[in-house]
Amino acid sequence: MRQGWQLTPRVWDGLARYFIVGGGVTLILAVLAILLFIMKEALPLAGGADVSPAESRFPGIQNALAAGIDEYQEIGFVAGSEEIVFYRLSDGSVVDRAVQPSLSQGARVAVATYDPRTRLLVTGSTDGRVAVTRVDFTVRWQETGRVIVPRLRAHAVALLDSLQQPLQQVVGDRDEDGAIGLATVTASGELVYAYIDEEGDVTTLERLESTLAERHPTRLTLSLAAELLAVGTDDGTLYFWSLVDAESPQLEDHVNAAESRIGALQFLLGDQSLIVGSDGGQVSVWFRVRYVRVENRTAESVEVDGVEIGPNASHVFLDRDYGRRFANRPAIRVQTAGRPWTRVRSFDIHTNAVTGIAVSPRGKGFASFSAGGRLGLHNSTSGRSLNILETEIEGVQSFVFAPRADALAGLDADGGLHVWHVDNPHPETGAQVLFGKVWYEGYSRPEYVWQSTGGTEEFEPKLSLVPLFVGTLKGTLYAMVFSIPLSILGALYLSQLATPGLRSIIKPTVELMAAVPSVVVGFLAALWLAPLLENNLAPILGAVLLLPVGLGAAIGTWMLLPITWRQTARPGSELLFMLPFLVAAILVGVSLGRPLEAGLFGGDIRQWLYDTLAIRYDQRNSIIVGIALGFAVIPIIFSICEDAMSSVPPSLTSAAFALGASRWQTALHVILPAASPGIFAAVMLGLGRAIGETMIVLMATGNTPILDLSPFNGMRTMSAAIAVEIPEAPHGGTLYRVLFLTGTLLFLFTFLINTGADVVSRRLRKRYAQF
Amino acid sequence: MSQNTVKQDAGQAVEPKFAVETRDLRFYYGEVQALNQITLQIPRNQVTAFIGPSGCGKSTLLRCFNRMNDVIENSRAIGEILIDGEDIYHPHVQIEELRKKVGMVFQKSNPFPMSIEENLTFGPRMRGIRDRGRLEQIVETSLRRADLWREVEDRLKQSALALSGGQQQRLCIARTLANEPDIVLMDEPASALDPISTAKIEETIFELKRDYTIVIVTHNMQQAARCSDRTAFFYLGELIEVDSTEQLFSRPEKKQTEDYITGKFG
Repeated sequence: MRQGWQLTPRVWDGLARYFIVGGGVTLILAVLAILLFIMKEALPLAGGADVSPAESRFPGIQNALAAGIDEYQEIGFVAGSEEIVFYRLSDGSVVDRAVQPSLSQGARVAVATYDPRTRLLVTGSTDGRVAVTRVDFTVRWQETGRVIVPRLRAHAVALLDSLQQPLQQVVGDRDEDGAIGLATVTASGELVYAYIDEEGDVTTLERLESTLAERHPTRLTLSLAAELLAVGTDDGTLYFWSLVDAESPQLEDHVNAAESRIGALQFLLGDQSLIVGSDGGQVSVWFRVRYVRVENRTAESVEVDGVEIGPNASHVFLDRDYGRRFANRPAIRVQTAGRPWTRVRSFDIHTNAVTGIAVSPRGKGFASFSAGGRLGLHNSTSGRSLNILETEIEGVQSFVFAPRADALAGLDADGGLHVWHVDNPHPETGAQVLFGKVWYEGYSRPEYVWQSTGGTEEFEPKLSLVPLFVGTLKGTLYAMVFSIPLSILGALYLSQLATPGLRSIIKPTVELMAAVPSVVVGFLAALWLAPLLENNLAPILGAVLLLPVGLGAAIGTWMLLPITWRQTARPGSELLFMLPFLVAAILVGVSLGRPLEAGLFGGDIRQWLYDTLAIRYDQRNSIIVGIALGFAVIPIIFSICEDAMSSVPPSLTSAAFALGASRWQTALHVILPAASPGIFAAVMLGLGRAIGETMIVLMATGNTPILDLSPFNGMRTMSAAIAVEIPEAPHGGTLYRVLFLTGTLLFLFTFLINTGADVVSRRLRKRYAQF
Repeated sequence: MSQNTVKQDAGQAVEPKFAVETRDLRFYYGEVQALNQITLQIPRNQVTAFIGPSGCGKSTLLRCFNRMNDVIENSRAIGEILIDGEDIYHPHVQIEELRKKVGMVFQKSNPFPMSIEENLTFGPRMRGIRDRGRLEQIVETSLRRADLWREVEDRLKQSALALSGGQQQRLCIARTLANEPDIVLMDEPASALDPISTAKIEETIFELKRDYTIVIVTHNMQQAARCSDRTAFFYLGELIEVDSTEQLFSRPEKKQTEDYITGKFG
């Protein structure tokens, strides 16, 4: 007898068991790991923003007026009335001092602003002059490492107050050509606007004060390359001047923006939104909103959104896509009525006067500071206050962001510099942005928009997942509408009525459809089917409409045949009998399509759809997607349904036949209910496939993230959005994480559907358990 | 000769006296002949039992009476089967109407996976009866006739699959009766049941005789002896002998019949 270890069946059993259990557990763990990874990438979106004061203390200087920080957060500066002091931020030591450039003899600087975006320090002196100085931080590499060297470049000086009195306010902005626009408030309260060309010569000098009436300007800000001047006053009124024509400034608009004095005024990055801070503690965001005049030139009244517009009358509305809605009715004219400045949202975190607003050089964020020492970090798009910090500083002036938006600098009343570190990786998201309606810049109302990237840095990302979600559902819906009836009826025919010979051909053929790569299906749908349908809409529509007529004719003729013929017909031959009728119906439909299109629809059915129903027909639309995605889904649903129907016990069919039920009644009342668990599971599997399918929707939908259920336009699905955008989303950026969040939602979505399907399927199976 | 006695009745079917009458019936499964020249009359309101060894064609003949063989490919019947004097293989015969008139109970009970009530109303509903009161009436009547009413009257909405085997078979009988047939064909209805359930089924069959013509295929000669009025013995696709049950079991005319009923083969 052999001693020792032997591979007995028992050992084999044990090995096999561990192998199988190990495989199963590994599979579950792998799926969980994928989910965890996706969630981990998306999770930082939920993290908030952090603001913490820097530890360094800086010796204050007399009459500090403006402050700024360099890109690397190494050097900060404070501009005083006579000198500019540079500090090392790490230890608070003074690195350099410079005399305020361009000062006349005996004059001092009375007022100064620094804009980290243009890097321009604009100073107004006690003798009515404005000096523009660029504060550069050049990077040098030495043996010890990186050294930041601050450097001042005097740009231009201009005398803006002929009385040579101290200036009260001063702002500047640069246009594309390098010329600089300046605006000041003089000692007498006059608003003066000037333009300095590249050489430093004053080309324009205009006074704007006449329209302010009794009001006194408290804050100025210039934007749009010095073409728009916004002025806040002591009673909360905002004035807007268009400086497009520098020779003749136009007062464009004035609105009551706050109930009290406007103490802070800044344009957000992109120069579209204006942030207004008042002494009452209000912080609000304003931008221009389009109003349209809807003019009724017909002879009868027209109702528009509940408003009755009489014949030849007009009404002004906040624009709700009226241009498109009435594009097909030339008698109703839609014109822009105006684009007034409108309060879009407000941030109510301050109780005391807002003294400083700092605008982020990256994105649509800003920070506000109020007299009680409260610092708020906000994002305009999301409407959220990301962080609120109570400081011991009474109130700051010259509140600015660092160029990378990772630090804030402010001056206290004693001229001391304060620096806060800001950690705010994903300022533009939030539940409201991702799932709610957001009022974006330039829009006339809150909407669900997905538009993740734009051409410029000033672009406001629009990250609503709702259009993607709806797009996914829409694509799936049309695919299911196309595929469910076809698959179930096909399976019913094949399992109950077709001859075994026919069955042995059709079933493998349909199952072979599943082997077609989805990229091929998408390619054919996008480049062959879509143009075909677009160019032959009327003939194809005609064929589809006539198909039931052909079917009816076939059945009618069949019934008219002598009964002896019908009795002797081989099962399955009815298909051959029907074929010529169906082909004839298609041919007649196709040939009737063109004349009908010419006669009824003015020669072009797509134009007719647009003119009479305002329905735009896109080449890549939901019909195409429904067919293409349906093509991918049909083999799944068909095959499983057919299996389920074939495995209904023949004893049940016999029972139904013996009770006098016809084949059709048996199929409908016995086979379908008995096979319902399988049919349900098949539909759910198909649904899961349709939701997750990427390549077909990517190629055939047109990828327009619009919220519209019309079958004549496309969509962008969640999976397609991930596929299209992940290559261009910077790693770790907001878009990157939002796409991972989309992936997580897609995962959970399919998981829920599959789980739900399983639960329902189990219930049904229990009901139809034993036969 | 039994075939001579049969022929005495043939030919005078102007006012049909028999529920079922076959004339020179031959039946083929493809090339295989399953029935050869069967000529048989089945009288009304009697229980006729078909006996014979396996494969003798008794079930095939039974299935010819409601044309259940039609679904089998390449099968064909030659000859005549008259039910109420009409040839049921005539092209104008509506097969659904025929099957309504000639109900069938299968060897293995096959209730639909639905409630008891739905099982019973299936046939009437397929024929377009929608009236709730009438359907309820049909349910009760047919359950009472199948002697199942008292056992299930309080759980009509429950699944038929929850019933016991014998109850399921009686439900299938009730389901057939709900169609108000004239003839009930039973293909070994008790072969899969325990003796007590079998006794109940036999009792039911005895009760039903008053209103229906019953043809029952059975392997069990005691059962044939117990509950049938007439018995037909088949062997290798041929009708060997048909007579009143008493006569056939006590004084069979044919040797084969005697051998079979005495257990010499089978």
